[in-house]
Amino acid sequence: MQNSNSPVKTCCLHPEGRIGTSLKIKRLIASTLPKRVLNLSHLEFPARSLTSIVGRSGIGKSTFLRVINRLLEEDPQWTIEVDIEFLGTPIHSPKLSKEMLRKCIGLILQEPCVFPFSVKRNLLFGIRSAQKLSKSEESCLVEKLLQNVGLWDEVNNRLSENAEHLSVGQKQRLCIARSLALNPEILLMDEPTSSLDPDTTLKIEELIQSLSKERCIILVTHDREQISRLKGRVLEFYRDNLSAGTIAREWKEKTLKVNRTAEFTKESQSFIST
Amino acid sequence: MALLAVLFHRFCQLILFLTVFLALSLFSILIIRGMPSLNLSFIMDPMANAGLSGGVRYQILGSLMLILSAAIFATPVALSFCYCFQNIPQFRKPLITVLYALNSVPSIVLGFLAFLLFAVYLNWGKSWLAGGLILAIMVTPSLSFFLIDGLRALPSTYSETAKSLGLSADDRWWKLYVPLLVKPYLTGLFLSLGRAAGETAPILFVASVFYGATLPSGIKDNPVLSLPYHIFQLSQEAYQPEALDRLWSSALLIVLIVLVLQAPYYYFFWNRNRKGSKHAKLKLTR
Repeated sequence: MQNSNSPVKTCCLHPEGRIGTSLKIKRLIASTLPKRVLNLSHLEFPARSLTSIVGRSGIGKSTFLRVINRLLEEDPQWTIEVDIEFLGTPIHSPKLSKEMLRKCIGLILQEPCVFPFSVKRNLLFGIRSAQKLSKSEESCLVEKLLQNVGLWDEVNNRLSENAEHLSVGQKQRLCIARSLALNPEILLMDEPTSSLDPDTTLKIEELIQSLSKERCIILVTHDREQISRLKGRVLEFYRDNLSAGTIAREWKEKTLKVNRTAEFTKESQSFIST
Repeated sequence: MALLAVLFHRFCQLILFLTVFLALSLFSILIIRGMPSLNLSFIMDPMANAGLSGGVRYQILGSLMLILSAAIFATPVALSFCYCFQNIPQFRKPLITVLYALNSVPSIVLGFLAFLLFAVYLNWGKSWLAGGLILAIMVTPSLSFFLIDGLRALPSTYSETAKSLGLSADDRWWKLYVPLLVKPYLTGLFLSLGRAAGETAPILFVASVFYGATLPSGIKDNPVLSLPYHIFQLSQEAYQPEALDRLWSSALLIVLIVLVLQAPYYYFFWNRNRKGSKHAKLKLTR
């Protein structure tokens, strides 16, 4: 449900607030000639949940995220065939413009991308294109967002400074806050902690966990220990047949997650000892 | 092979030395010959006695007027080209081809064509506006190249991030690209205008006269005086010592004006590696 104190009213299209299924993938085929990359079907992503996606490099995890928020279909090298419903509405429905869909489905990239503007301008970059806010509403929103991502104490006196001067971890949290400004229904995260140190990674993980209580988070990660630390379901992307494309299976049991992590740790240890 | 490499290295050093020596010699001669007559009254007074006395007030004002009008006309055109380059991918190749072709047309040919269009076909006579328009046509390709280079220098993640925040193509253009193109625009504009300020051929055909003009009051038959044409005319009378002194001073003055106009380019070029100015990286070519 939307916070009534928040001036932001961009997303949350579901008439009853954030319940049920945020995203339903009936069919998703993404091909770049001559090979089929993704061949997914019957996947559901509930509201207020965290889904981690794992799989080896090049399997199509990032491609999957870019298909969902319709970034990839603008690339002429790709052929995309999808039947995806966002809050019950097909993502290609004329009722839902590409821009509106992207406002409702935020994307956090692997490398934090801040524009060479001030921290405040970066933070309000998306929301300013969506709705007009008064100065007081903007200040209130800036403080709230920065507090949400645990950045307020670090940057409250640097709001007019160039955001490129922040550390990588701070930039990543700023990017998350920038997406949150639009109050998205779904937040897609493409390895958001891969370039961060362990302490900052833990901070971001805490943030992801708390965000998953209010919206649907789809997290792509390579870090299996991270999966064991995060609560939520895990989808594994894999290929049975090279020409058929990537398919997905769910890791049902938490114990399985732990076992897989233990296997991974064993593999790492044997690799180090050799 | 090693000897060849050493010889090539020495050859490059020699060429560099000769170029710097030549540039310094040229500036030294200009300063030594031009400085004695270059004073405030030379800059502020109007020309008298067919250029043998008085100053170059209206030549400076006329040149600035031509430059300013060129900037005003070239800016929206170059920005539109840049917009098309960004938002209409199928337009990119033809656009770049046209810009290269336009850039390679000799200024004397442009001047002649402008004369046929403005003076003969439109019956404007000599007009400052025709001069501004033809200089704008000369400036537009290089200004467009600067803007397009500025756009290409931006990381592709900027575009992807802005798209993922739900910005439409127009929103991305006005809220992201235009603010980031201010530096390339200013450097490109001043560098191109610096070159345009010294152009004689096109304005000689359509916009400038040697004497008899002050500031224009209309468009038709309203020429201006200009420094390049003034230098050209004085050089025809170089056998007279007064004319020769003024010729050197005028030449030094126009070089100084060009350097002042190009100053922002050098500022951004030397400071381009500063943190936070990645997007201002520009190519030195063109």
